[in-house]
Amino acid sequence: MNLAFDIVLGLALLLTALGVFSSKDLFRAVVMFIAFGLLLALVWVRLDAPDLALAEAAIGAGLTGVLMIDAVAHLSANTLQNDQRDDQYDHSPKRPLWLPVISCVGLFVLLLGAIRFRPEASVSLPDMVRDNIAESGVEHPITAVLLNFRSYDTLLEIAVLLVAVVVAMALKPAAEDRVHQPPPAHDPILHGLTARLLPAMLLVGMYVLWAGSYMPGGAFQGGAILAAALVFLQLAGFAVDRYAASLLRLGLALGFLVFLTVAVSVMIGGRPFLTYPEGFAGQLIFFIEAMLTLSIGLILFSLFSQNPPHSGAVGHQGANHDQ
Amino acid sequence: MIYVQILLVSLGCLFFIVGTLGLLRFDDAYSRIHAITKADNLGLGLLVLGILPSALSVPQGLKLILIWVLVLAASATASYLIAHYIKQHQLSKLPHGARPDTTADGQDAEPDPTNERGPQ
Amino acid sequence: MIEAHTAWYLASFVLLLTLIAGLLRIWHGPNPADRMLAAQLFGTTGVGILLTLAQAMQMPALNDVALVLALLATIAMVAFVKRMSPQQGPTKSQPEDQP
Repeated sequence: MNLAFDIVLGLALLLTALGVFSSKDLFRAVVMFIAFGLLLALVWVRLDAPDLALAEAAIGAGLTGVLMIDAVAHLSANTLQNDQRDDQYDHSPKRPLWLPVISCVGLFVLLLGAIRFRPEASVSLPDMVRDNIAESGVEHPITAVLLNFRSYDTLLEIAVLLVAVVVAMALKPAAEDRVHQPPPAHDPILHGLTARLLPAMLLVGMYVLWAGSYMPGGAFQGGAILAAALVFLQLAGFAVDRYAASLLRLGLALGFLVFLTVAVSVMIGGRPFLTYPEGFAGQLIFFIEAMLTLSIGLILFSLFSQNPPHSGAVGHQGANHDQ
Repeated sequence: MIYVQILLVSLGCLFFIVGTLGLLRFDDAYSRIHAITKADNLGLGLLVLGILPSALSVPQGLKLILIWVLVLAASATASYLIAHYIKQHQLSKLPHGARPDTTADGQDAEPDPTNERGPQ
Repeated sequence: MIEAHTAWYLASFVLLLTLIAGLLRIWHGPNPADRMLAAQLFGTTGVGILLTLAQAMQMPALNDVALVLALLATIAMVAFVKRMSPQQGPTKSQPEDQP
């Protein structure tokens, strides 16, 4: 039964991927991509990687969908205003098909070979993690790897995220022609949902962060949920990005700064960069993760809110005034 | 107990099937909303009820119920939003099919158009 | 015990099949709203699959994944309703008079 499940799941994933690429309608491709994210989360589940499933469910099925829908909204609004083509989404491929086909087949063969003739691992990393987890300060092996054994990677990852959002913020003025954005219509039902869902989201975000020390969860997943909560607020009509702009910017860098400060300050005691003193590893990891959660949430939210002004809303509004 | 569970889970799956059928077979968007929200959430509810006896602990069981309540609230709101959106869309633009959707409009209990159009 | 696992797998398999059938609506859906409806159904079905898989694989952590999915599945819908202006046919003529 589970083999059938896996086969069908894999085929469905391929099908949605094909749907994303072959769709001429951008919006259809986006919805297909949301479905793809959901199926990918299920695939991670089946590959025994609930941590990744959690991240994929939060980011892939939730936030990426929002970002892409927003992008399509901008695109269609701009195309409508700039030129009045009917077939705004017609990107039918004119290039020869053989090139991608050959490269795909080649890659497939190479991957197959890599799987078939893989070298024997000289060191068993899972065993190493299992042997040393007692010293790591946390019980969950993934968190131990991310925040202790390979914390270098995580530090660089948060730096990359920070750079990405800084670039997005730098791009914003270049594209800006801030059209007067009308205040969003008051929507009592959406407000009601926001008021009730938001505490639940914050609570679940914190729970996921806390759970990270002993079971699947952690800073990235918690951050994604926090970001989703902020996006929800923004969509419901509260201008989060305007109320606390400076605080927001401080928060963007906080996770990286705290992580770096901890990493460097242990060197005062003569320890190597990025190691935790004995007995304090658990607390330090949790402290760093909490700050990371905040920063990741704000970074992901900023990627959403730092988009150029939404001219489509104006067009829509104008259309409504006309009736 | 196990038979009750099997019954509940099967019923839940049945509602999912029915919901998907409705999504695929109904002709207009309003009926599709009806299909997915009613059937689907009932389906999830039965599924959760069926899983509850197998929950490892009370908090786990409460979490399952919480999931269902969250889906109920979120999905109901989403269906209201989309129904409102479709209504707005069809009032101002051409209907997507030749089919008149005025009947579907009345049958759907959720959209409440009273003060929605005012501020716009 | 094996029996129970198989039963849970069977349930999740049925749900997966309905999810795949729903892909058709995403593909054909005449307007964007129909596609979003299908995505909404995907979210709920995904929650159902995760809950049954959590039983089948004896992995309670999957309930957390389902919880997160339940919380976030609506956001795409809200974004769609709030950000996406109807973009078919006659939209084009109207935005012109706006500065």
